[in-house]
Amino acid sequence: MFIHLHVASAFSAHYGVDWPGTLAAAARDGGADALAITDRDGLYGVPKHIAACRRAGIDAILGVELATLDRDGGVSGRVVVLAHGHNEGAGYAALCRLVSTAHTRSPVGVSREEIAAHLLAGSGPVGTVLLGPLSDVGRRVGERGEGLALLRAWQAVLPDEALRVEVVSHLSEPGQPLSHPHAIRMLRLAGRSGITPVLTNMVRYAEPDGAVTADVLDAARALACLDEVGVQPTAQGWLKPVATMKALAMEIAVLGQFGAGAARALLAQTGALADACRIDPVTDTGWGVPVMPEASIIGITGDPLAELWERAQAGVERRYPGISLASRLAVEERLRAEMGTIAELGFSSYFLTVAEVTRLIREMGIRSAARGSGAGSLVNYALGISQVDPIRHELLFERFLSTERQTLPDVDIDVESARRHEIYHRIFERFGPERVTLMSMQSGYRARGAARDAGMALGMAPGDIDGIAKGLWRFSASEFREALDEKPELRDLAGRVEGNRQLDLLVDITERLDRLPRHISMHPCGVILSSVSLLDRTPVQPSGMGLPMSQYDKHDMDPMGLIKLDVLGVRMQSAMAYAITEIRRTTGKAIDLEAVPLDDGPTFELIRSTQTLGCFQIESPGQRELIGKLQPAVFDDLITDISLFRPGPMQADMVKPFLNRRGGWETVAQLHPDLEPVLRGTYGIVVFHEQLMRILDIFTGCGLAYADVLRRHLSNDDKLPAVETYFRDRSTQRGYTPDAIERVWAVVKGFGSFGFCRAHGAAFAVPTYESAWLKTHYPVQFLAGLWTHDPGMYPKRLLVAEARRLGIPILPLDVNASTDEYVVEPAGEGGLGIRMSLSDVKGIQAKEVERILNQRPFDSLADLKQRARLRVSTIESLALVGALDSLYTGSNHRSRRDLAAWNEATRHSKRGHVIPGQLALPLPAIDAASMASREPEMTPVDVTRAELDILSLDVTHHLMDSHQSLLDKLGVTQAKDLLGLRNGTFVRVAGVRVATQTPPMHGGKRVVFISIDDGTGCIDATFFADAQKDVAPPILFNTRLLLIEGTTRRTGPRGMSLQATNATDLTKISPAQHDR
Amino acid sequence: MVVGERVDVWTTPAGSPLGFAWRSGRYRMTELPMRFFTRRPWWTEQDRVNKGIGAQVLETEVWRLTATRRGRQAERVFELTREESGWRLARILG
Repeated sequence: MFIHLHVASAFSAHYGVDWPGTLAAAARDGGADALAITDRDGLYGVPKHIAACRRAGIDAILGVELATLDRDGGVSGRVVVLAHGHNEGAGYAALCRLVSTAHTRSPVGVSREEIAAHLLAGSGPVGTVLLGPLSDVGRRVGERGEGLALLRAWQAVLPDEALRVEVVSHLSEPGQPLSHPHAIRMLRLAGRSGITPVLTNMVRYAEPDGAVTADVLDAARALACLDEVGVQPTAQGWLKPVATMKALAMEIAVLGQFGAGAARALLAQTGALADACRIDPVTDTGWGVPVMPEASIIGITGDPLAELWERAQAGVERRYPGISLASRLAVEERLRAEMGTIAELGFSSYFLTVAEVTRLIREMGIRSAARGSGAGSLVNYALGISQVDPIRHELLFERFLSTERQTLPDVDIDVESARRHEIYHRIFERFGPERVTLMSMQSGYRARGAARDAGMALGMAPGDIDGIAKGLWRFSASEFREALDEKPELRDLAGRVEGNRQLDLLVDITERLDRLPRHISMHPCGVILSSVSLLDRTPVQPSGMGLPMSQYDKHDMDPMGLIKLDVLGVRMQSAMAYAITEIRRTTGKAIDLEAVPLDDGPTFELIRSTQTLGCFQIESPGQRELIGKLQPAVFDDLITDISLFRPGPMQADMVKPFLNRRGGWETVAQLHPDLEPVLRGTYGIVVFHEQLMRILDIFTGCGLAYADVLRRHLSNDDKLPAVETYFRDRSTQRGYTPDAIERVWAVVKGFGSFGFCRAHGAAFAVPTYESAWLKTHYPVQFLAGLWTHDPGMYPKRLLVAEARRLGIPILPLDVNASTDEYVVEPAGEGGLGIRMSLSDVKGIQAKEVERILNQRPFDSLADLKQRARLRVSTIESLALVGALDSLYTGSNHRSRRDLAAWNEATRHSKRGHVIPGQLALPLPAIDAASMASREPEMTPVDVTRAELDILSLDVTHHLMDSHQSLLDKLGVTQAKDLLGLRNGTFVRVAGVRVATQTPPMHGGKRVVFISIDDGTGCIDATFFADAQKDVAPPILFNTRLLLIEGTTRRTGPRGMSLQATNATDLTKISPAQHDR
Repeated sequence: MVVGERVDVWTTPAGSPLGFAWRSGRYRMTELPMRFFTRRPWWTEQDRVNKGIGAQVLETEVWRLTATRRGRQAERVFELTREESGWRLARILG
């Protein structure tokens, strides 16, 4: 037997080549019954390695390869540390903590003493250090130096039993590291020092030709080409089979004249160490055993289950005051059922923890909402985790959690994006850094990056690499060659590859690099919450925001028993929070959005009007068309609307029949009388997962929990036949007729993998409704929130146009009034307007904004220049967009160009420094007097141009205003007038492009949707294949100002879109041309 | 001295060389030979490097051996390469 103890997987970024699954299978096929993973600087691949070894039926061994640091903090070498197994996790815990310690250093590494301290924590050593060719000892020996003294230094801190001399030969040329002579000298050193030797192969790849990938990774790491950096000395670092490793041991022993016994001893000692390091995944790493935070940390001393009961019951009282007895019984029965499942799974601490996090977020005054299947739980609703009533909205707990499934519950909480990091810090503070860490994610090579690194390694010219890389997207690098054959957009490249050796190599290398991890970063929302044992069970390293993150990713959570909570930043929540603050400030009213009734008439009137720009989930052109047709009247309609506008339901073509039946144009054929209550709300169409679960339960009597398991299997082709057999057998037994079974099964099978989770739809419908409510009742404050936090899909200028359309005054930039946000101010007669923000000025620095806010008011340009210490370019921008107009009013008036000219003329005059305490001299008189007044006022066209240049917004006038005379000549129809036209009327429309979408359609034909804004609203134009042929691609995809011709197409009672026949660039049309 | 000529080699059953014939002489080893590999610049030599090409295009197997010509005393160090086409005497080190 021979066990590989030094193996880098793909999780050694820019070093290892193969995935744990490949390595474990190769080890087993090579005759081994165990395999180690010892990635560089981390345990990133450990969970996958354990899973892969279990699949391969071999034992897992865990370790790491770490840099060792000398007293000055320099890297002295690299060693492997292996955890001993079957010691209740002591070895694994030491490994985790050692890796975490290494990541507190830069460069990442540990001292000898730190390794010793971690391995000797308990009664004896819980791990072993391999001193191989890369260690300080091995490097000295490789240089034909005396390694004994360095080895003694290791012996001084660690007992001999925790040390091994690692003998490796990659059969490089004698004189080089990793040669036979190097291995022989290491073996001799072992003999002289009394430290036991072991044999490894320092594996980087599973198969010999993996060396190609390793060569390229080395070059990528060095950011150079292979001609410059060279390659590894040999291609021998592969996962050699047992027999080959035995022969290698013999070869070294014979050449070194140790005798045949030495080879046998070397192999036996390697085997003995491997045996000590085999782990039991469950007892050593807690495999699959979820660990909850201790109840005591959230202030619970008694039984957490009893506490949860108590809180849930109290919550139910609060949520359902004064309900009827029948309803009360239903609620109580639901609560008992949910609590039964939670008790059986032992998850009560989990719910208490999530409730505590929710409470923390609210206590900070931050808006939050639960999303996803968790909204289906009454317990979550009672505890305040979710804001959707699962009983009223017919949501199922079993879609979220059941005893039939092995996955841990997953609750996602949406919070204000602007305050997400604050929440993370608060969670760390509340639960303690020993119980909390962020989750990480690995970013791997994709086609484009892989092609770039491949090209660089091959020494291709940067321009050529760029040209190729730019065209590569939307396919996996591993299918590069296939894509070249199939994709029309790669036809040109495919032609060049033919007969070009270097490009042929590039394609092969790109495929090899596919998905290999490049770097690890903080996951955008995952927070891991556990008990005080957390840092014994996952290594952590600093994340970009400073807080520690686990080296494990989302796929590792369940197997490693880690519980994660997704705290997602949602800009809409920030926008709404901002609106509420502004409402309070400007009107004194304290709005509690959660208390707003869900049946507000004006809000639904706004939604039905499709004037929903800025509203959560329902602002896209497609959604506006759908709500125009669907005409939502109650909250439930919003849930359905959101759920229908999803890839699944769209793909399954549910929308059309749904709308036809809702509109009464198509009769609803009843599927089966028993299913009537389930399908009534959606006119007999299965839209929701929850409906499918109920159908399965009604027909088979399997219970809702198992129904969810069956539902999941429907989208798995391997499991589908078994589900069908089960469905047919059970429903036959229950007395359903063959005809009914046939009909219902067809529906179940057909819609099974396409539906949407109703709980998720309901959770999304809440902020959708709230944002629509705010837009209806407080449009000024709401738009100010949207501009400040920019949550949507559209450019900000469209939302500014929306304010103009709504008649909301847009107050110009003013150095004495604008802030870094959009502030609501009194404007007009008792009305409110929105003040433009300094943060939109192109190139302005945060420090400059800060000084403006701290130093104002200013009374002149000179004063501004002196005290705010702005750069010349910033002042010029402010002058040209009118932000200085308020400094020069009345007889002092100067044109914006005059101000800019004075700024330019005085650019080299020294800015006087303000000494603290010194009063600034009043300068306006000198300032205005010294300023010539000769430049003309800017024309409206100039103003718009300057605003677009500097703010990327048209503030004062709409961009289209300057084209009005041309538009009149052309007989252009405005957006606001479209609805009044007959279906099928030929029209010309014109406007600024605000969105372009190309969703795939049935039959693979592409449709291009272009939305334009003409100042009176949005017009959505559809270009089908015929129209696309007549319009040049730049006009279809890039041109900003468009003139579109087409016929009106009624999409619903309140919706009118355009079926386009032609489009042209508005700026290329001269009025004369059309006078003909 | 760089040679680069085809030679006939006698090997053990495991493939380790025992002696070789070069030009008109027969050479016999006097010490254990040592095997090692040197790399080949695959990125300038190969047309394809897809998975499964094997390692032989990536490196060259070299045997360094000390041998004497039959009938002579003087030992010399030779480097033989084992290639797909057969054995080659690459160079004589001294």
